Amino acid sequence: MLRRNLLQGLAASAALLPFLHGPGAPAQPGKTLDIAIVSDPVTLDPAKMASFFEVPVQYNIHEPLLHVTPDLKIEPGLASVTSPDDKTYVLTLKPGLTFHDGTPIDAAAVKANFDRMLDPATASPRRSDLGPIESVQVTGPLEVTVKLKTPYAPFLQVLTNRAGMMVSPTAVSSLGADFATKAVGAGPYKVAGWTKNSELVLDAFDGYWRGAPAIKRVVFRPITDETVRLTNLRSGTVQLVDGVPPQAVAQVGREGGLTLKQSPSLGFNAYSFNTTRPPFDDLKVRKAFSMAVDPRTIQRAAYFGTGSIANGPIPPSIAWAYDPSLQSSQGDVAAAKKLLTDAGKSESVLVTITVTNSPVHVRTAEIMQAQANQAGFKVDIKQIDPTSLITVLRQKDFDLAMSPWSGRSDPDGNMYNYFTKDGPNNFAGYQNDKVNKLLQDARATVGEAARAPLYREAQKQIAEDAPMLFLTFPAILQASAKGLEWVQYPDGALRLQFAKFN
Amino acid sequence: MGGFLLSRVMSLVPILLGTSLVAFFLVRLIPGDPAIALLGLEADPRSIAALRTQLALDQPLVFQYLTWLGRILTGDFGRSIQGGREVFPLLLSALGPTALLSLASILISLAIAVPAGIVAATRRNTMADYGASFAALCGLSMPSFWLGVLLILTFSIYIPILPASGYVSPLLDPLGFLRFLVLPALTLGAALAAATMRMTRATMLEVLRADYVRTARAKGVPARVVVWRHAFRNAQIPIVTLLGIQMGQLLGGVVITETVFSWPGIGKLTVDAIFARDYPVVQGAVLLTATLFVLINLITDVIYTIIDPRVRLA
Repeated sequence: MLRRNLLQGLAASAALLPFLHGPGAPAQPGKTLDIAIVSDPVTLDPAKMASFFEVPVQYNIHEPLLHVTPDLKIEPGLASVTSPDDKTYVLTLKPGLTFHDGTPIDAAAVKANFDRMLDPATASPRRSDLGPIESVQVTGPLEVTVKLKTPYAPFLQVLTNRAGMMVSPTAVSSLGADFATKAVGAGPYKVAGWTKNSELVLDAFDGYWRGAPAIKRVVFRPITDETVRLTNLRSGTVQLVDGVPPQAVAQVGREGGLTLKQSPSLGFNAYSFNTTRPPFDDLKVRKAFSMAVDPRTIQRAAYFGTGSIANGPIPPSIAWAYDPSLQSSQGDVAAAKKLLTDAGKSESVLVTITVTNSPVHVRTAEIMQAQANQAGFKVDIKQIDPTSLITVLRQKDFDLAMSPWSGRSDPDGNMYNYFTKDGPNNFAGYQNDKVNKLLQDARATVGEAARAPLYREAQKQIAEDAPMLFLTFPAILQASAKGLEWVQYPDGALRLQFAKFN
Repeated sequence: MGGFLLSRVMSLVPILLGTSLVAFFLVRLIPGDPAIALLGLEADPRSIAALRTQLALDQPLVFQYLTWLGRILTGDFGRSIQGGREVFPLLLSALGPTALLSLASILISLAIAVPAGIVAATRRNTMADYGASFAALCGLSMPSFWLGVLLILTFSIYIPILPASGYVSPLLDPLGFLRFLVLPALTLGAALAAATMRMTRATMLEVLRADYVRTARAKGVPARVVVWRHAFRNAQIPIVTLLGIQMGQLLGGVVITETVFSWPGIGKLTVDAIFARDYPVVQGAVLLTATLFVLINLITDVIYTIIDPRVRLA
């Protein structure tokens, strides 16, 4: 009786089977590259992308109008560009190209992409990336002319990123809301199937403008646990791993069958002081806190020696705007104490550090807590989830809160939003006329030689005002099996058209 | 029985209505909203405002709730805010792997727990009993993330016979599916077995002292038959109750095990949705899980009548 019921139960559970789905076809060994990534992308639609999680995936599906090299030089991509004056850019598309679905990549398609990103109804984060666009016009079958209201120096850099990724307008209208999961672009790979939290399967696109990629199938597997991610690399289940944990770097580097690659990223690990309320509305208190913290300890203990010490918002990887003369925080407790006394603080200054609940950030906060407490602060640590952090930052409901930035290849991307008066990432509430004007001017000036002094000047002023506490410039940490040849980029993105198995 | 089933199914209505209310308002109590979560740290306020309007998050809460409820009644669970997938198929596609994992881990736990519990009860206070009880204590105390990683290290690095993590549909590759299933099912099964073993031991001890067992022994019924037919049959009700509760909890998702083994289940889906304030997914997942929990309790009740014919459902 019981046995019969068990069998019936099993039969009933088989009714669930139709809901289990998987990829189109089993993988072919040798021709497939399996990649462990930290998390599933949120969306495959470049007009909607807003998280780090798309970074490893995005350039494999989508091709930007312009391409950026690992040393941040801008090259032609789907298009080449000329600029007759500071406010006009003429994009000339390569002839005969199509999107994954066969729709031609012509001037009309490019204009449709710009129109979609700029349409307020799309609510696209690309709208602010693209800057002061006045008009986008089709000026030839393969020629699009973009006119700006004011000169906007980062424009070309922006076109190498998400805002430059062209998608098939036909697919956008036919797929509707499903476009986010089935994206049709012009990149080296097309989407073959995507099972949430399990695998994103991409197949080589033979019509890719550089020629079909060497590796025929790529499977991205989200593996949240960093230990398990590496275990999968060691056991050969995957051949490439994104987000190698800093504590494993030394060991992975020593393992014979693995290649570890690390390079400076474009971003920064930093904390914003809330300059709109006590105690950090007082410059001396901000300086005292910065003085007490020693980023070298944090780099050693939280980042295990990876990356480098930060001295401002521009990392050395953006060499032309980086200012090596700026001092980082020193961990000078005596000087910090003196500053606090000068500020008229006789008792411990109570402050709260707000961080997300991931181990590396909590460890960072704990080190800052220990160091600042020695200098006369009394530090509390508040751990919250990432979405709450964004809310807290935007509502300025914090004393000192982590506000890391993934970075852009143009310095404007690392400074404008953070330090201009109305910048969306000006969580510190920093209001400085001089910096505001410098950043406006630097954005509207074309040419690295002319812009560099403006950025250096702004960085000096910011260092004096200390609206943020800069700790480290993180490194991009990725590892692969020895047989795989691939290129690491400072933005952390994988561009697998340049990868092959040896 | 028919009347019983009908009334139980009817009782689902107020439960689900309550659950929908709690799910809807609770998730909105957490700071931040889907627009902020979706557009992230690097977004500008204009885009956030536009997205809020698009998602109707600027409407009054009661209006939002009633709209959502109205759509649910027509079978439309909406679309995920993160990525735009349709919620119901998304939930079902995650429920499948979780259901299979749950079933497998319950079977593993039974295979370990029932014999161990019976041995411990029939040989009370012997080394066998102490050994089984100690193993159960270990099973209960070992956190699944630790046991999981330990199993992964053992069986995919030191003795590389199983994949470290991942999932493949049993429809596409049944053997591959089983290979992926073994480690997570063992991890979960170990924790479940501990509780089931303790329960089996306790009820068996009770039943073995019952008069009819003594009578059976006095009649000269072989020990094996006494234990399995007379005693164990009557010890099943508490075990089935426990299994029902365990199954309900497992179907709600086993977040940690799913995370460690990259198993694309409903637990990880729900937790990710909470972190992302993906309201439609969270609400849908809570509703679905609550429904399953009630249904499994119902099935448990029906199984009582099979195990113990004296039980009448009315």
